[in-house]
Amino acid sequence: MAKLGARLQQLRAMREQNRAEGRQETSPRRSHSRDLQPWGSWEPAAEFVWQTKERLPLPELSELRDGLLLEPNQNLEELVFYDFETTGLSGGAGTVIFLAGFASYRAGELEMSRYLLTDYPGEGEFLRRISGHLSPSKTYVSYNGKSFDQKLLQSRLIIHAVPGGMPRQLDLLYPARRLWRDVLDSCSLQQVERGVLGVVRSEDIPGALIPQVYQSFVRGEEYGAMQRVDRHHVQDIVTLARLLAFFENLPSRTELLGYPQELAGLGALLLRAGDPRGEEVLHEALSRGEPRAGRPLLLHYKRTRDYRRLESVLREILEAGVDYLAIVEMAKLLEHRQGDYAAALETIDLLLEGGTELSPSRRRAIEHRRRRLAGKLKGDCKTVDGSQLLSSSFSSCSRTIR
Amino acid sequence: MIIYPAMDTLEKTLKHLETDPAFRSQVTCWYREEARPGIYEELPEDISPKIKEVLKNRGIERLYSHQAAAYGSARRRENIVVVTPTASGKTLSYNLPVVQTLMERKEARALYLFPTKALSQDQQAELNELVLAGGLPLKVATYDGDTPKSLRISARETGRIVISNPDMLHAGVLPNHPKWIKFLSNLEYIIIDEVHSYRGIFGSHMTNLIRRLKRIAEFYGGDPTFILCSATIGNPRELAEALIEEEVKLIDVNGAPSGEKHFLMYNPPLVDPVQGIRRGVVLEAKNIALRFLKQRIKTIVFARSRLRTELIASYIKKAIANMYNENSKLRVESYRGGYLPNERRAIEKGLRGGSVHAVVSTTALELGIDVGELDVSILAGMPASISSIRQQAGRAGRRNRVSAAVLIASASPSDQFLVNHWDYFFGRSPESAWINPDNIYVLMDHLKCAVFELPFRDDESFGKDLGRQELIEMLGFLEEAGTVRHSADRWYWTGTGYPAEEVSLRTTNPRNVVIIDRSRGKNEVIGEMDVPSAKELLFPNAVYLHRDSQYVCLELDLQNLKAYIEESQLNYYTDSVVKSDLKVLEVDWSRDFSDSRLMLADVLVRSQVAKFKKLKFGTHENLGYGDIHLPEEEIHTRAVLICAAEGSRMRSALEKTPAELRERLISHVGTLVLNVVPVFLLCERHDVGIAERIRDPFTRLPTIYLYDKAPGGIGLAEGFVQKKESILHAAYELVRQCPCEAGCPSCIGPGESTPELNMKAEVRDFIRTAFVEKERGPAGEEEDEE
Repeated sequence: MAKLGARLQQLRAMREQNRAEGRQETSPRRSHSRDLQPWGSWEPAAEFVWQTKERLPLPELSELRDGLLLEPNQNLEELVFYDFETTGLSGGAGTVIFLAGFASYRAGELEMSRYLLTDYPGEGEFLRRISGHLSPSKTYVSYNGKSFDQKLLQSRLIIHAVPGGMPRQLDLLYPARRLWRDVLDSCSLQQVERGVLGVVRSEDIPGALIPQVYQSFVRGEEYGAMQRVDRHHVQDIVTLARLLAFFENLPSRTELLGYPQELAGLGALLLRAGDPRGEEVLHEALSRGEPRAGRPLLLHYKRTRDYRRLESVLREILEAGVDYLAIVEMAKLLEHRQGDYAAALETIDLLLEGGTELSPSRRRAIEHRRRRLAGKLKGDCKTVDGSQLLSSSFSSCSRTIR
Repeated sequence: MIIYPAMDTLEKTLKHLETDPAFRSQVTCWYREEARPGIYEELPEDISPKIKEVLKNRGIERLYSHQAAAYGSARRRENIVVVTPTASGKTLSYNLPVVQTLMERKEARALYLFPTKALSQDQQAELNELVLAGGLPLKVATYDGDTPKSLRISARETGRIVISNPDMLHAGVLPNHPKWIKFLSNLEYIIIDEVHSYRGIFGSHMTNLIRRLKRIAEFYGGDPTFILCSATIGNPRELAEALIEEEVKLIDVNGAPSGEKHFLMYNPPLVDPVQGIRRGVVLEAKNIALRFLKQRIKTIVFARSRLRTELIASYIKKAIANMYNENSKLRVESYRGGYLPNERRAIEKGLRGGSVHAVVSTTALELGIDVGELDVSILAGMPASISSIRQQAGRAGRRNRVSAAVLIASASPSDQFLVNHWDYFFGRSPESAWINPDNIYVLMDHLKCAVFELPFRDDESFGKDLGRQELIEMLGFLEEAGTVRHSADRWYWTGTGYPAEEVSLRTTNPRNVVIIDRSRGKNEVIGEMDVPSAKELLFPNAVYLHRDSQYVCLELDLQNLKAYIEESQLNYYTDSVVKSDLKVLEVDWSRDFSDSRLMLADVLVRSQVAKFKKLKFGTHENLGYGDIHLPEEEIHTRAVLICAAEGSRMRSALEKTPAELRERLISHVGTLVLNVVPVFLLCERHDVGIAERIRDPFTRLPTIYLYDKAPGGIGLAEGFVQKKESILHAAYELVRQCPCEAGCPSCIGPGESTPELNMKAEVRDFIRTAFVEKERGPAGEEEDEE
């Protein structure tokens, strides 16, 4: 504190002195002189902007079998895999994209164009180069791009008044979370890549360090670390493409999934895509003891009004343990479909007596349901005391009659 | 002319008081302000018929002259500051030009800034009335910390008027400006209300925030006009121009009519004439309020603390409960920070609608929250500043009826001074506000934020007075720290963080304790309170008064920010005793001058709530003490120490004073210095703290400490060192020229005056000998400042 104080004091003294001497204009300081030499296939494209084009073999992509995330008639050449490296991780107008890569599938290979901003003044040109890769008709595949990379690019384009955007997004983070949230330590791209695709990176650089590495690169220090960032970036994009291929092949190769949690995730994804195979996958997960597989099934049968299957899946879930949603649905089923108030009440009591932790709002809801059921059971719409009870049993009566 | 029944009643009640010898003999001054007719102007011709209709439905067929003037200027794109009293239709002064312009230009936007969230909500309600009632196609959106995420996008994209506060602009809007492109590029008006609250360090932050806002708006092609509003202060135009760094036109001729107004200065009767003990303010305020309330006259009572607010309110309630029983429909409420927002809204609404007849409040109602028109304002003790007294007294005031303000003095010296020198109050213009936007600490913080928001061009300026060379020096300093980088002709942000997050516009602690009622198995949140206040009011075993209920505090969990309380029925309340203490951590600069030794140091300022008193309800007799074990509040900050070192002139001047007077003397010197520094350091009185010690344990010398109240310090202590000469000379001039007899709040503070002793003369002579008169010493003893 005192040190900063002293330094600022000195500054202030300088200010006063300058003011006294009436000196206002001086030439701005020179930027640090640097002489950055491109490595590998990089070559200068404009002042402060480098560019590289690479082709990488990627057989997986040619054999996409089943639609899981993609539309059935998706033209593979209309997919763009992209990833950005940025100067900060928290976003906001002061965060800049310095490394951008776009890759598309062309004749069995991944054709990748990448751009590197070697110093801030080149950002406008850097973005204009990038905008050549932006099109409203293509589908942009990313990992966490929907809430980060895409938004950041949008901000940068606005600031530099460069047109363009990538409205169609396919973000693999969300399906990855569905499958591996409980299986992997985290759902970072690197974890998924190692745990699922079996790729082990050597000499990789942790993402959190990348902004610092870039700052020293821009200052003309730390060449080597920047080359590691470069390799990291290529690897990220390749992994994206391989991960998409993995997802697309899953429905017919469920044997690749070892954990019931993964099956539960896959089943839910399939049902969302309207693929009937989802039911089967979810049943398998459920039978292998994954309670979370029950919920998508339950919602599916509710939606399709298949009450017979709904009941059986509810029984299956409740055999495994107490579950709030399943109990409420079961009680509704018993009350409204089968008119069996006693059984419905018993089901509700499972929850209340089981010592389950309930949020206050859930507890209130369930207690309300219980009171209503108890009233129905006792009065069965005939004996009524008190006007309040009268109106409530009337309304529930009319519902049962209907 | 319509005859209002209450007109008779208040006049009758005032008559009654005037002829009541017991009351009249305690009134030291009874001042009548004549009624004033309104000055009106026709509605401007260019106002759209739709808006005219809304106004007509609200009974507005012409404008007050200040509203018309504001409309004309604002429409001509002149920056204005409107300074008129409460209830003069100030909000229409800005709503009218804004709404008209927004109706004409489909893309135009306006930003409204209020210092607090409560005021924004009030304004949203007011605007809704204007906009919705007329079915005007303008979307008004509040954008603050409470706005749900789901509503934020639509507020940014389609909000034509966005109501926000400086903190949100600073940390939410500007750092994410690309999301606001539509809003910022069409920004036509910026409304800043309650401008008088942007003074001192907070005001310095505000100017820098406006610099950033203007910079970003300009980037997107926006060129906003400013409409500012202020309560009466000494220099509204100067403050407005300092805040926005542009020319501002002053509109301060109030065109609203005002009824006759009575000011009464009331000094409670002596209970013990020998010791000078008077009846307490709390009970006197209750008695006087009841005299009005019994006649159903709408009354507001301002109390000096949250505890007193609750006490006065509960005494009044008790009194009317006895008198009127169930059938009386009188409603009395207390109002202060710490209640739930919806409780506060309900009280405000009750006041506006007339179902609440009296309210007892802290300064919380002093700011422009709309509570409708009130007849009587009672000040239970005098606030610290003239402008605050005026604001509170001004809360009562009707356009065409009589109103009254009763100012009750407490036993404190400054209250006693005021009550006996009413000419001081009426003759004095309210305090001026000072800001210093180029304070290097504040400036550095905002410069960082500005670079984050947009790269800084070499030829760019930041504010009005800052030279390019200075800016480049500062940016260079940031470059050395690695947070910016200069390349080609610009400075770029290279830090990894989000600078606005690390910069707070306010020095107060934003953390709040949630108050939870645990009575009978409940678990209900009844309010919230900032941490330092919670320590004073919600310590374990504290009796906590909250509206109609009394609670005992069971536990104060500062880790999880929760206070657990339970209903109680005790016959006493508790009042905590706060001890403050200042400790020097490290001296990093010290210099002996011929007048004194000055040191700059890092200090630790601590305050601790260590004990509480139990006081019986009604009589306030002391029933005993209790201990409180809570961690101290502490801030690390910077201080300057002015020491009477051996051989210094300060020392010899002190030694000339009789020993028994010395302690009081340096305490008065401290007050005097505190009265002078704001002008020189461009801050507010409350931005600096002062401590005077006749025998300081650290320096072992008589020492006056002046410290920065902002954590870490923002250069005020250093500023004192630089301007010591001028400050002490000004102090001498002030005490020499002050027309008071023996000391008043504007100079040394009220002091004693007996035939043998005049404290003011003592202080004057001390300052002269110690700091002003130069000894004709040998050459070479001349002091050099740096």
